[in-house]
Amino acid sequence: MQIKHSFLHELIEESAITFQNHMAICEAADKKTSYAQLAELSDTIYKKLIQQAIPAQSRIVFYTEKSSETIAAFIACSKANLIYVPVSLLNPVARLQQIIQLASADYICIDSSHIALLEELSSCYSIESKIEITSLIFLQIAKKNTISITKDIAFILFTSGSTGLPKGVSISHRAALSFIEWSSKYFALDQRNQLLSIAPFNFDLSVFDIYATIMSGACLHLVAEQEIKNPMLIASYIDQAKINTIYATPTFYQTLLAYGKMHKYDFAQVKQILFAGEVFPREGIKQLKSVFHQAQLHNLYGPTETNVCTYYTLPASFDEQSKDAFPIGKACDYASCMLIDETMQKITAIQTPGELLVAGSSLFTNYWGNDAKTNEAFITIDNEKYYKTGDIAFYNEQNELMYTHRKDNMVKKNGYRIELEEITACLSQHENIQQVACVYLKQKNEILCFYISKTMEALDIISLKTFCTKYLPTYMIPNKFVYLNSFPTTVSGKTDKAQLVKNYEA
Amino acid sequence: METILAETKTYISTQLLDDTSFPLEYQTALISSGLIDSISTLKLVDYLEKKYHIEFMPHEVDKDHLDSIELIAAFVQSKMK
Repeated sequence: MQIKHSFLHELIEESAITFQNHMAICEAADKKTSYAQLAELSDTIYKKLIQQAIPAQSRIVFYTEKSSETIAAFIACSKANLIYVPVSLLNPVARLQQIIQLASADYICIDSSHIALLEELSSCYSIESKIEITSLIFLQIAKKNTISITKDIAFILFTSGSTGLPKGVSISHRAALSFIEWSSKYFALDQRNQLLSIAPFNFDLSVFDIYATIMSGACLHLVAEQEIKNPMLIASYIDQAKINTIYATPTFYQTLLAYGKMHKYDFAQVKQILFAGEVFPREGIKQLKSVFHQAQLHNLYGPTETNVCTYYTLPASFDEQSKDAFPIGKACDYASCMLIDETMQKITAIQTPGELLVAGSSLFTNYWGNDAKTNEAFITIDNEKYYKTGDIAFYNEQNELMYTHRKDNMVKKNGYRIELEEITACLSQHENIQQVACVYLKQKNEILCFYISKTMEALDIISLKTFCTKYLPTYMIPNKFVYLNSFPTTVSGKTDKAQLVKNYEA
Repeated sequence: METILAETKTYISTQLLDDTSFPLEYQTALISSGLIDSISTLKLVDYLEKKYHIEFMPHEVDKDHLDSIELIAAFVQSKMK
């Protein structure tokens, strides 16, 4: 596939000319930003940034509300050849600090209204300089980093890491644009589209929300991240703002259907529903289809490392009695997929499961600052570099890819990617915890945390949960804490997680 | 009022916390402490609406109204009038 653009900021430069006074972003309190205004805002931020003579590819961590200013600043970073690192406000400050360190960030950007946060950060870092631009404050927290990087990285998305620390997935302009150009064309976005931004900006789903919108002259609606958790508000917003395109996880839609009081609205204006991140049970899809009765449904697949790499558009009618999951479909134009078996041989036969490999222009560049992990993630076959997804899939009779399960211990809970080791590492830091092990119960969709305490008695649940909220995003906090005197062990002396669960359920 | 307090406490203990041994008080912070998560909050609202034949407005589903059993009971009662 031919990629037309080289850099993300080219999208707004073109759209500012084509769509001028058409609305690009709608926010709370009726705040609206047109394409011309967004381009101007972004240019103002860009000019201030280049005055600082920040070396190319320096990292700026954004810990801000979703706003037109934040989006304008992302674009300004692109133009100034700086890497932006979004961190949702749903993450606690301790996790933000981990990410700042892992990204070896030079600047952190916050909203000027977050005075308490500014004070907190000022006490943790020596602030070299402070630049206020519109409603944003850029704090220089390091003397100019001189690490020379020749890559064209646009942003880094931090995801859960199996070593106990978040892992930074570096995405180049070209990788992001491959998906953006394809998706705005495939979903036929134009000025009539009203999108609602559901995913936090540190999730890859937001790349579609922000940039496919900008490229096509559509309008992106932003609501506060806390409000996304309130289905009644979201349902009423979809209705009132005439949202017609939504991209979110199956868990989001299922919560919306269960608690949004959907019967109050007609939703005939909703034309496209996109979902990704986990398997959507057919029962849930049936309900989704009856509520959004005029919408076309699309099942998208792809880890952060590849962004979307396969897609499947559901037929208008399908067998409602069947229990089978829908396919993840076929490779997008810019990607190619391959299945391999345990002996690394290519699988072409149908119904034969193997690990899904993905090649193409949407592939991530590296795990930031971790060459060993990066090298482990790729494999070269016939001179083509593939990313090993760790997902097991097979071809069905129509030669469409069907997802089955994860190869490793990574957990997908409510569409979030979670490495249990990160939760374990966090709780190991608790002053009264001797030993800890976390397991995920798929049936109940719960994370259980087993622990042995130093005090030899059960710890207060509230204090444990409060401890977790300080270091982990809410979706990673265990649902239950189970106090034990000792852990069962395997023959090799490791904690026997299977036995832990057995004892618990007994 | 006493009935609402007691019934709400029983529901939270048995259905949301799944742990009757937890020392839940009428003043215990539910949401701000992280004791119940966002899905449990929605389940709680659903329960209250059905049990007491009331309706929450979208902006009322927040910790200002739901952060303790005491707050919940007062809010439910104001809705029932």
